Amino acid sequence: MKSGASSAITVPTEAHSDRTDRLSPWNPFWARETELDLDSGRYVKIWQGPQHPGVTGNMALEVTLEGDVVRDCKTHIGYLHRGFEKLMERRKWIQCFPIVCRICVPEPDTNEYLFAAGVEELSGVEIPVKAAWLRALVLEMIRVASMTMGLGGQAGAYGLGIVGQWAVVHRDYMLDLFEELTGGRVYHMYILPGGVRQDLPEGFSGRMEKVLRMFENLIVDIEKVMFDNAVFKARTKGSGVLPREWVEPFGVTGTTARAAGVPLDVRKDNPYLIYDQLDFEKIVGGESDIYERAFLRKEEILMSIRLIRQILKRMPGEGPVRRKLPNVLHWQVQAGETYVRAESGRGEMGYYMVSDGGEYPRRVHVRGASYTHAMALLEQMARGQSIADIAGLMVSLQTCPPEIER
Amino acid sequence: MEKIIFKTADEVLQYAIEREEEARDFYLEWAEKVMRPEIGDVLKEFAAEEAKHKELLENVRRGNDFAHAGSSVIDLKLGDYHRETDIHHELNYQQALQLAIKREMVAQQLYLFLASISENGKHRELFDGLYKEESKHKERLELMYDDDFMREN
Amino acid sequence: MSLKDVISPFYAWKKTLDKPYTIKNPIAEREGAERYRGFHTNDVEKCIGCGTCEEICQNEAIDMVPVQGADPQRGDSGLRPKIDYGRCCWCALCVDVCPTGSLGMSNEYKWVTPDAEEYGFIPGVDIKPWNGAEKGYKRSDEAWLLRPGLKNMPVVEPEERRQTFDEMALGYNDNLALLEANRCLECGICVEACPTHMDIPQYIKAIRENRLEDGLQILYDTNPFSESCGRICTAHCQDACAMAHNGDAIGIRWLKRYITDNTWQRRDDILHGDNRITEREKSVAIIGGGPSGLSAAYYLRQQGYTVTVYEKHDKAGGMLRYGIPEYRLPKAVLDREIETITRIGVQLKTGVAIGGDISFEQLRRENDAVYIAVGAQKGTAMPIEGMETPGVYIGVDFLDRIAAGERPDIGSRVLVVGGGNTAMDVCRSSVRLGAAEVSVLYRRTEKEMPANAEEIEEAREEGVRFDFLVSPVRISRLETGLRVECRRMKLGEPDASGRRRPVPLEGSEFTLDVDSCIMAIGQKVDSSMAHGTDVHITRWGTFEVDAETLQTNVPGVFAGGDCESGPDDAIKAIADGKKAAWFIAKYLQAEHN
Repeated sequence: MKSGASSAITVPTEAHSDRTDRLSPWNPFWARETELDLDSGRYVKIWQGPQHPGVTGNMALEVTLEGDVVRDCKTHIGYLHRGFEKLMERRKWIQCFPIVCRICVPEPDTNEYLFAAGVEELSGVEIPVKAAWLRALVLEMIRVASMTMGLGGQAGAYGLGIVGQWAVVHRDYMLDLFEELTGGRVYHMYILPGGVRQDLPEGFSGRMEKVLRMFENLIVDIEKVMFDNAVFKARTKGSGVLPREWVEPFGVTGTTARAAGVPLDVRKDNPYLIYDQLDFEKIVGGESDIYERAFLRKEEILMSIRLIRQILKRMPGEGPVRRKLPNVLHWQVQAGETYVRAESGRGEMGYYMVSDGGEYPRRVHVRGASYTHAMALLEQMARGQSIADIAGLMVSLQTCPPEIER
Repeated sequence: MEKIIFKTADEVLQYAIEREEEARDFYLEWAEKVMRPEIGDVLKEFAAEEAKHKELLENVRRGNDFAHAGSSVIDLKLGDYHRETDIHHELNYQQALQLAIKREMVAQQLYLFLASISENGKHRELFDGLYKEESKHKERLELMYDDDFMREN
Repeated sequence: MSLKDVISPFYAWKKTLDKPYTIKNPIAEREGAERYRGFHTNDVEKCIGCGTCEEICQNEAIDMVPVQGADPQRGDSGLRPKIDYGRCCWCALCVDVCPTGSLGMSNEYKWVTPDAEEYGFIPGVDIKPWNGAEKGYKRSDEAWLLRPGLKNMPVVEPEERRQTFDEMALGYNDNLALLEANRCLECGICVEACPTHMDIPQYIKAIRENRLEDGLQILYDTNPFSESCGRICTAHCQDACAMAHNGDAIGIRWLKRYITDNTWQRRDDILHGDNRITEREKSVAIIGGGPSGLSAAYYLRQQGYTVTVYEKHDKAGGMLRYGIPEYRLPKAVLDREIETITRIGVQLKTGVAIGGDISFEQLRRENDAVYIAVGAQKGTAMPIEGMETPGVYIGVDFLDRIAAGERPDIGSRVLVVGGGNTAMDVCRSSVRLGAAEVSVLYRRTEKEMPANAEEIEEAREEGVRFDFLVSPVRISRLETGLRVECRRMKLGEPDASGRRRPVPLEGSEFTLDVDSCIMAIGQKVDSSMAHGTDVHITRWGTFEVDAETLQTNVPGVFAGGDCESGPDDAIKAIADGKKAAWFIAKYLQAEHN
C-alpha cells in the first residue's frame, strides 16, 4: 500500500533541513516555539491525556491540530511524580530497596538491579556467582513480560485490541512464575544489595519451559494477526520515522535506536552480570519506522526466551545466593559516586548514586530510559502526524511516564 | 537412764507429749536469753513448731491416726555429720538450725530405741509412728538449712 | 498489500474454539504461591517486643503497642507490633530482620472488610484466619539480615595462663570492637535487665561512631566501676539480649571494656575536666569501701556532699579486690578506678573498722546520713569434724590473702569444696599457686552449679577436675596432709516444690588424701558493727531495708549491696550504691526543708 492516506504527511522540506543541519546544543531547535496564529480559526488545541486510553501512563500532550494534522505538540509531565529520589535520601540504604521497584510498573526488576548494583559498587560488596545468574534470569523474564505487554499496547493503539488481551494474559502467566520465585507478582523486591532473596523453587525450570512455549505460540499468533496485517502495515510502515542523525543528540537508546540502525545494547557494549557468558546478538534494523520498532521488539522477545533457556541450563547448581551485609540498621556506605547502567526493555536505564559516607544515600538520580524519547523527541516527531496516529507513536517510542518522572 | 516401762498406749503418747513440751520450753527460755532479737524470733518459731507437734500427738491420743500415712521422708543426712553444738548467747541462725536438727535426731534415736525394746506390738507401732514424725521434723529443718547455708554446695 | 496480509488476521478467529485462559473463581480457587508475601503472622510467645521491625520498616507502617496478655518482663518489653496495611508495602524487611524469627508472613492475600480501621491490626493477637499459617514468607537463615556469631575475646592459652596471675583476657582490638558493635540492634531490652540500667545501646553506638569519650560519659552516668565490670560483670544484659534467641548475645561486657581500655589514661579529664561540683553543707558517712559504698560515694560527692568512706581493710575495693583474683581483675585497674572516685573529693579512710575503732553511734552523730555497705565477706562454715585441721582453709579468706600479696603454700593436691564463682576463683588460683592436682567437689550436679558457665569451662581448660554429687563429711589429720572422708550422693525424690535434693548413698564412703582442702560453700554478712544499735537485722544477718528507698528502720541510715540482699553480684551492689545515693540525697534535702 502506498504510504499515502494513513502515513504521515511529510514535513515541509526547509523546516526539515533546518533541523538536521544544525543539531547542536547551542541551537536547540526543539525548544523553539512554533509560530502559529492561534486566533486565525484554523487551529484546534486539544489535550490528549493525562487520563486517556491513547497515552501510556499519565502524561499529557497538548496538541495543536490543523484539521487532522498535528502542527504542534507540547508534552506535559508531572502527573506521576512521587518524589522517589528525595524519598531515598530519607531512608536508610536497605530501606530504599523496597521502593525503587515502584519507579517503573512494567519493568520493576531493572530498577531493583540497578539500585543494588550501585550500592554494591559503592560499598564493595561482591555478590555470589549464582546470584548474578538469578538476577539475569529475572531481568530477562521481566523483559519478556513487559515487551509482550508493550506489543499489546502497540497494537491496541491502532485499534487491534485482541493482541492486548492475549499479551496481558500471557504476562500474567509470567507473573505467576514471579510469584513462586520471588513472593510478589508485580513488585518483586527480589534483587537486593548482596544478591537475591531466595533460590529457585523446586521444579521451576519445568514450569518456566511450559510458559516459554506459551509465549512462543503467542508470538506466532501475534505475527499472523499483527505483523501480517494489512491495516497495521499500512498505518505503521513509513510512519514515525526517526532519522538516524537524531539518535545521538537526543540520547535515544534501546530498540528505538537499534531500529534506526544505531547498534546500542548495554548488554553487549558494557556487559553486566553474566551477559558476557551468554550467546546472543544485537538485533538491529534500519527502517526506523513504527513497524520496524515493533518488529524488533518481537524479535527481542524471542531472543529473551532463548536467553532464559540458556541461563537455566548454564546456571551453577548449588551455591549461596546472598552475601550477608553489614548490620543494615546502621550500614554506612563509603563515600563516593557511581553510575550503573542496564538494558531495560525501553533502552539504557541508569542510576547515578552518590554517598557521603552516611547511613542515607546522598543522591540517587534515575535515568529513565524513555526520558529522552518521550518529551522533546516526541514533540518533534508528532509534528505532521495525523491525530489518530499519535497514540501509536507514543507507544512506539516506549514512553513510560513513571520512569520519566519518578 | 532410768528404766522406762509403758503399760498403756496412752502412757507412750503422754511421754512423747512431755518431750515436745520440754522442747518448746527450752526454745522459749533461750529465746529470751540470746543476744540478737532476730534469733530470738527464730527460737520462738521453733517453739511454735514444737507446740504444733504436741497438738498432733494430742490428736493421736484422742484416737486419730498420725498424719503421715503413705508419705515418704527425704533424709538429707546433713545433721548426721555436723559436730555437736551447744546453745549459747551469741547464737546465729546457722547454729540455731544445726541445734534444732540435732535435737530432732536425738528424739529419733530415742523412739528407735524404745521401739527396739518394746514387747508390745501396738506400742512398737506407736514408736515407729513417732520416729517417722521426728524424721519429718528433721526433714523440714534440713531443707531450710540446705536452702540457706548450702547455697553454693 | 498482499493477499496474505488481508487474510492472515482472520487467524485470530480460531481462538474462539479454545478454552478461556481465565479462572472462573480465582478468590476461591487460587491460593497464593508458597513464598507469597501475604498478610503477617506473629508468634506472640516468641516475640520479645524489641521493636526492630518498627525500626526497619521503610514506611513507618509498624507501631509497637502494649497488648493484653503480654506483660513486660525480663527480656520482653511487653509490646507487640501493630501493622498498618495502609502503609505496608509487603517488602518483608521486618520478617528478614526479626531477631527471634517470630514475625512471618502467610500466603493469604484476600481481606475484605467494610471498616478500614481494621487494617491496622496486631498480627498474632487479633484473631485472623491466616494466624499460624505454614506457607508464606518466613525468615530463613540465609535471608536473615543479622549476624548471629559473637566475635570471641582473645585470651591467653590455658597452658600459659595456669602458671601466672597475669590477666587472662586480652581485650578487643579496634577491628573486633567495631565488628561486634555493629551487631547491636539498639533495641534496648538489655537496659532493663541491667541492675543499674546502663544505657547500653548508646554506648555501643558511641563505639560504632568512634566517640569513645562520649561512651565513657555514658558509662559513668550509671556505673563508676565500668572498667572492672568490663572484665567481671555477670552480664544480665547479655542474658536478655535479643540476639541471644537465635544466635550469640552481643559481647556487651567486652565492648564496655573496649571503651575503658582506650580512655582510662584521660579519664579524669574527660569526666571531670570542667570540675563543676557545687558544695553542700551536709555530710554522709559510708561504711564499707567496696563497689556499693564507693559508687554511692561517687554519686553523692558529685551532688556536693561531704563524703567519707570507712574501709576496714588496708585498701579499698571490697570483694572486687579481695574476692576476685588478679587474672580476672588486675589490681591496677581497680586502683585507678578508685582513684577516679577519690579525686573528686571523696575521703577514704582505710584500716578503720566501724564497731572497733569508731562506733556506729558516733558515726551517726557526726554525720547527717549513713550508708552501710559492708558486703558479705565472711565464708560460711561447714560444721563437720576436723575444720580446724591445718591445711583446711575458708575460700574467701584464702582469696583475701592472695589478694593482699601472699602466696600460701597449699601443696600439690588440693581439694576445693563448692560450686559457686568463689569456688572457681579458688580452684583456678590454686592452679596458679602451683598445685598439680586440683579437684572441685560439688554436692549436686553440674547443671545446678551456680558458677558462670565460662568460669567452669576455663577452669577445666586449666586442668581442674570436677567431681559431682560428692560431699566431705569428716576431715582428719595425717602425718603430712589431710584425709578427707567423703560420701557420694544421688538425687532423691522431689520435695514439695518439685526440686530433687542430693541424698547420701549408703555404703558410698571413700577417702581422699590431700595437702589442702578449701571450703567455698557460701558467704554471709558480718553485721556485728550494728549490734546493740536500733537497726533491724534479719536472722540471716542482712540489714532490713525499705525495698524502694534502701532506708533501714532508722531514718537517715541506709543499707545496700550484699549486706542487704545477701551475696549477689557486683553490678547489683553498684546499682544499690547509685540508688542509695539518690535516696540519701532526697532524704538530706527533705531534712533541709
